[in-house]
Amino acid sequence: MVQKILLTIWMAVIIVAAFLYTEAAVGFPGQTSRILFFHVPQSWVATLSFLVSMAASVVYLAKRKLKADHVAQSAAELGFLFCILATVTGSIFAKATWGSFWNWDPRETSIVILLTIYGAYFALRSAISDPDRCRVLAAVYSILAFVTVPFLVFVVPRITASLHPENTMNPANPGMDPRTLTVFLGSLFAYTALYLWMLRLRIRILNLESLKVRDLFRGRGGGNPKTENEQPRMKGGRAQ
Amino acid sequence: MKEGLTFVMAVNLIIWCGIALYLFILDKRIKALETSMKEKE
Amino acid sequence: MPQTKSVKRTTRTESSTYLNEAIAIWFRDMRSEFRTRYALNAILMFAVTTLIAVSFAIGSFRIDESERPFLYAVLLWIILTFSALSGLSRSFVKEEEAGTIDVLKLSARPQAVFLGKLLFNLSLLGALGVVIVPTFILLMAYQINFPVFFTTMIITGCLGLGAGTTIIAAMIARASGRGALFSVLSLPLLLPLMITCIKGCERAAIGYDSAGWPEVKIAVAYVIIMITMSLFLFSLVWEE
Repeated sequence: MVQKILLTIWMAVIIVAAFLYTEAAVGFPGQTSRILFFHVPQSWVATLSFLVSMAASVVYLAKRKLKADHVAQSAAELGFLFCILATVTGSIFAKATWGSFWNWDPRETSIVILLTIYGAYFALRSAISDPDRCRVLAAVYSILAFVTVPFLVFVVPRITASLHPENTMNPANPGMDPRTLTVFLGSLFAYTALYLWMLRLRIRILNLESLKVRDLFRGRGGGNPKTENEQPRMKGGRAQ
Repeated sequence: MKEGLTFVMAVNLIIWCGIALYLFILDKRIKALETSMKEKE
Repeated sequence: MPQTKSVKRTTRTESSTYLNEAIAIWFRDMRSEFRTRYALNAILMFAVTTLIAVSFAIGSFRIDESERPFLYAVLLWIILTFSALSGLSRSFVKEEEAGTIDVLKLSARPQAVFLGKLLFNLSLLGALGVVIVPTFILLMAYQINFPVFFTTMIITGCLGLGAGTTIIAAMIARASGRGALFSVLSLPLLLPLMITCIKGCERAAIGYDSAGWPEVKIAVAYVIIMITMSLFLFSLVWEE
């Protein structure tokens, strides 16, 4: 609990620092460089989440533990969320810096492809009715999609760079200014911690839901403490 | 420029406080459900 | 589920190898396809219609000579990819519709089924390539300076199209909304391949100093990785 309060304060400090404590970077127009304190950690979290989802998918396929599938699904949902955030903030930055919302430079392309992968994952999950098969297929797809990522990382920069040389983004240099660097790293840490918190919450929700379903099948009631009868039940449904 | 920055920062802070509040409330509710589930076991 | 793998099949002689079974499936699919020509018609009709539309629309405008290599590469690969997406799911969907899935599961090992279906898909793609690519080049007056590079790019690209989509076809065979789901799931996986092939064809047309054919190497790597991963994951998709 304490950590969560600390995280809240920490993120608030980062927000303040991003605007008041640091100086705007020189190469960018106006104050636009400040968005990188938020945009880069978001895309980092989106990619990290994809990795987590893939790893959990592997665990699920190997061991068929339901909780692993919950991790995979939660990570996919959160990854999708942060991917959207990263795309939007990146697009805003692009508009301010280069004048158009979308330029298909390497980083933008990669984040959009990640977005389509997440979208396809959810389309798959919602199209398969049998729950076990749904989990297996989603896990397989997660792994297949992950395998194409190295191609994106190596291929896309080589190809798009030669097509549009003037648009390669260069946000990987916040190390210019020590203040900027500290705030950037602090933001990275804050976003990762926030992600882990949200991930755990989502996993717990999914775990609870599956417990509820299991209890329903075993005839022990829906689990809602308000509406359930308080009569003592026989533990008949549970195998001893 | 500085006034504009403070405004944007304030908006960000308010949004963040809203998010954090939501997460805390969600956390409490989940904990309540978890303990009630455990009690039934 | 793991038990199926460790059960020794005593009823079958050990003389049938993966390749034999795969080729048997391939030839059987070819024969049945030759009778109905359903998938082939779907693919070719789509490709020819798109090609006519493109040629008609573009032919009346004067596209600048310098833009042509790239634009034509893009159009060609759009035609090829979307034609593939319209027809390649047939390999598994027709089994599902005809009710022959169970017999297929009994008669061959999963990897052999995958290989057989892959060979079938590649044959369809081969027919597609042979018909569409020369027609495209003639209709659009596509000037190609490195024909060997170009042909190799087309061949490896089509191999990639098949390699990336066959396992997806198996995954969606029983889902609702099969056609759309197949495209939605395949596109994120095919995007890196498409980007590479477009670039490669553009280079082949212009005649950049493309010593070493980097795009072909990337496409070959893609094919190898996708086929390997599909072989690993296919039994999970195939068995229940």
